[in-house]
Amino acid sequence: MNTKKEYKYIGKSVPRIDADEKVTGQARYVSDISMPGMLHAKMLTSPVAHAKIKKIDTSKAKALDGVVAVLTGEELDYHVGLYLVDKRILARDKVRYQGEPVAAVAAETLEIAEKAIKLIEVEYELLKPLLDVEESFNEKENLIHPDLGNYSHLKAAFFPQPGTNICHVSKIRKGDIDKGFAEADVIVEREYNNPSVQHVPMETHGAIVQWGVSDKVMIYTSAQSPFTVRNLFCYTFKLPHQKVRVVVPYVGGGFGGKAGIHFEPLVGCLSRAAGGRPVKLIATREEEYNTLPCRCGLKFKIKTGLKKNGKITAQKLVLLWSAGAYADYAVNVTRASGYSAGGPYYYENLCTDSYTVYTNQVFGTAYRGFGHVELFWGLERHMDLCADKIGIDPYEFKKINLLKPDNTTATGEIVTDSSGSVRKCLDAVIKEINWSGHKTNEEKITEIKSGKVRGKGFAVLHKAPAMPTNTSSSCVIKMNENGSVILNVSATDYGNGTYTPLTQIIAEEMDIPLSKIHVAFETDTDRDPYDWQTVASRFMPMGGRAVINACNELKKKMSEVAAKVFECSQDDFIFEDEKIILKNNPEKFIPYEKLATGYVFPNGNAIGGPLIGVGVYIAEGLTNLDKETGQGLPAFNWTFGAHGVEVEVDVETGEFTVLKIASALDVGKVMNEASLKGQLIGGVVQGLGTAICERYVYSSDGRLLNKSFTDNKIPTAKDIPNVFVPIFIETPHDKGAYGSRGAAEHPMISVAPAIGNALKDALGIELTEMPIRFEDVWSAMQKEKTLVG
Amino acid sequence: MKQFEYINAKSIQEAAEILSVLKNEARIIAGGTDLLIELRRPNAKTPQTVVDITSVKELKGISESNGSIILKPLATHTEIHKSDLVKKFAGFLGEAASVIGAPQIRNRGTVGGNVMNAATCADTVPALIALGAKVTLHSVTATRTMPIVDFFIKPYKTKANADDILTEIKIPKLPSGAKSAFIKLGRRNALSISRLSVAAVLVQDKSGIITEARIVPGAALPTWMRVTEAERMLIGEKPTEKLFEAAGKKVSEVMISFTGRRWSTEYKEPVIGVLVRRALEKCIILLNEVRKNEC
Repeated sequence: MNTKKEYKYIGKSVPRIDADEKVTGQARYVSDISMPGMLHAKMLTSPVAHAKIKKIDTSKAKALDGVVAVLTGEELDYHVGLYLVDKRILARDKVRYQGEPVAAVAAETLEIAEKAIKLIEVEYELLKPLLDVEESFNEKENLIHPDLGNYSHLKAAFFPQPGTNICHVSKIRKGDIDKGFAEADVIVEREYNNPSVQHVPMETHGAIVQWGVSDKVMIYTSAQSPFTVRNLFCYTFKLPHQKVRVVVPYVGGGFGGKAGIHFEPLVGCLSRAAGGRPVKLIATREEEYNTLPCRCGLKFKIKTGLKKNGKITAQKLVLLWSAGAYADYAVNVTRASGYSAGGPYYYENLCTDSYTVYTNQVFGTAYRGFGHVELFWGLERHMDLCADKIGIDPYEFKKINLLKPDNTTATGEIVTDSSGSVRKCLDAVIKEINWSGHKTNEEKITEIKSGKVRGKGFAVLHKAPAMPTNTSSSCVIKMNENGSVILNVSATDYGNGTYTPLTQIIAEEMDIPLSKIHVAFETDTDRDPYDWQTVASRFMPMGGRAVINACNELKKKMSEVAAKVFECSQDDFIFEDEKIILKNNPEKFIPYEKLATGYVFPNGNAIGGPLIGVGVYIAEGLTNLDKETGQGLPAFNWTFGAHGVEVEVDVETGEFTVLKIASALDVGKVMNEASLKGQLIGGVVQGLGTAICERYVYSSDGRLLNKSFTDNKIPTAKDIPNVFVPIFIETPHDKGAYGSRGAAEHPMISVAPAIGNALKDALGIELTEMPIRFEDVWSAMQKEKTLVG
Repeated sequence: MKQFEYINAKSIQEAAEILSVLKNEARIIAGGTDLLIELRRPNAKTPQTVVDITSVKELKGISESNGSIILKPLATHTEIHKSDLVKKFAGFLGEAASVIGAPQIRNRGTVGGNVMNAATCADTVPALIALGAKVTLHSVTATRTMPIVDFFIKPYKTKANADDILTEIKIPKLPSGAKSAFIKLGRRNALSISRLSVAAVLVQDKSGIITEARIVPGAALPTWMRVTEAERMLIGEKPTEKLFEAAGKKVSEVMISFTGRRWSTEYKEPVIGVLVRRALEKCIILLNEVRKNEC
């Protein structure tokens, strides 16, 4: 790998390669695509949260002119799932959440499909909905999935508990927890809460599927991971992979919500029922909220044993993840947050039980941060409380307990110098917000009288990619006749921006100008080589390695040809300025374009052939985690970070403004500074939204009450902090491309607790539930009696 | 997709005639910022006909007539916010219009729609009530004018009949020397529905004594009204923080006498008082500026 310090392209703020088509509207999304003979689909969804389906009468819908296919769960005896295969394409026998698809129609027009949906009659027998995660956790009679014991699942990693509503449990057992608590001077215990929230991608989910002759299936879908869609689609229908083609055009955001498989099987079945005509289904915003998955809810307890000198002696966490009606990614969120649950701190004694619990609500899936936003809300509020309880400044407290080289993580991984440094991130934000300790009570009271109160807070974070031990990437670089190249990858650029730094890698490795490097959009499983998934902030470090390897292969092939031309060794060349040059005689060189399709001697003889470089990369050395102790090596790398914020509160109304947020991430290597800053600021704003206003609200019978932008608000441009300070620490990672680590999810993690801690600094209030609305600040202030005159 | 007949009316008369026949089967569309959202609701009743009045010239514009501002119902929030006439003689109405939704909404949404929709959170209404505006309704059979305060019955319910068209909002100019303010509390800083708001007007004599006061809370009461109990406390007094706080407290008491105590009362009870005080303080700041300039 290239390890020189000065780069020509790496790290530079190269503009996004997809900018032009996106700002002009020329980029093609699924909803822009139309095929000859295409039908339009609409779903009928359940109005109730938990019920037996007694009867569905579709006769009137079928009789409607223009209706081509009508399907119910009765006709679709298939199971769909990721890690635990627990879902039907359409609800069959029972519905498990309000908003679940019960029937679907394909018709000549969307208007006819909508009319037909209204003609379908469904009779339900109501069951008691389970809406509280704790209640569902303890329930043994009212089972949301009575067949849990029969579902197939990935046995190495997931452990369903038949006869309960618990579909997975992850455990960490490190050291001796009882001994640790016995040694403590002080024990601090508190509960924390997060509601479900929506990803809110600009483009909702959508798919067009044609189930053609001989079971050849063509899928256009708005998805993050084309090969995962293909694999799971084939698994569900027992189809061979070569018959299914998945094309992902430009994607308008996913944030984890498009990581798995969603509409594709349903739309495929409608196409098959319609005799192979293509069928299109695009989710409305209401369906995006209410039918497609959201982020899981989390209720958890943290109990910490402390020495008076600030050292943590033991920590026990019990996490109850509310999966909603289906396991989807929730089980893996549970697993990843389970082994991460201690945060970037060192524990001699740690005990974590992380459960996935079914409830009768919209099911949860992956969401930027993969459980860590929720986890760190409680963890970093809790660490502030711990520092408080033993009378130590929270910064000092963190310094004592943060992970250092030679410490072991929760799963027994040894921290090294190339692991990255959480301490450097924390120090950077502390400096940026001028932290000098909490305000005194007197200072607070004086400030409150002025009406506007300021506070400072900070929180650390970490996350590793949650991925299988054999996660792999591959790519193909093809050289064109003019010496330019096209890169084919199947990890998608759904807004994350990864394709642009990949062009920088090729430019750096091959010394080709950026203008001559193209990455193929409209990812296609028939055209592009395999990639596991575009999730987990792993594509830059891992996919980047595959691209470097492909460049090396290209260079090797060029060297082979050039060695024949100049009759020398293959090792005698350097690659500069689009030329392969003889090291000791720079007069002798061949421009890349002369090699692109094969070298031709003056007499007409040709050698070589079209230049194609193939690169692969697979994670090495990772292991499954022990079922009972959680020990093992799950992490390709950890990315550490910290946020520091300053807030101003209107003490009479509880309204607050984040004046400034400083965010530091140890990214290993900045690959594209502008792009990384954009990624960071976007993540911070998304974190801010879930911190201050976003949440799902359910009625007492389990109906989602706020499934629109009117009622479920996200921040606008007028709600974001006045000042962002992005800080990048570069401790090289020994495996990532150019030393890089993933940084896509991390900016969102720990924004909320930094704000919570700042509000505590400002007002002495203790918030434990997300989001922090201004009424909540106001109410908490009323409880803090010393502050209210 | 909803299906309905669409008629682009060219005159008040044409629109009135259509309404006189179709009554509740027809809905008027102007900016569409309420109607289109309503129609997207799954169980919304789809009207048989939607009557577009945006081509009716007589319903457009903001003008001055005999000491009054004439607001035609198709005046958009942006037009109201940018109108010098409004700025000069009804400042807080312009302020209220400027914080509705976002620029796109303000460019489409109309004051007529805001009034006719009669949502408790309608941002232009508290100022219109405080201004003592009068609304004129026209139908094939009659033309009626009434004080806007009498026009509202309850949230989303007005005295307009199914065949009525709102043709004019007549606003008496604020007395010279009066200053007004509008304060809104939303869930976020744009595209936000008022959780609480306050429109206020104050007039002082030369010695600084308050001679006139108008206070109208928004999104607080089942319908809009001036809170005269609070206004009376201010008349004949010099402005002090304590006085304004007391007036705020009175508004909050009146609010609770109407709404009773609900889940949101714990927060709204003190905060409406704070907003009233702040709106009054804002008026005083503006009044002081005027006086400084006069000196």
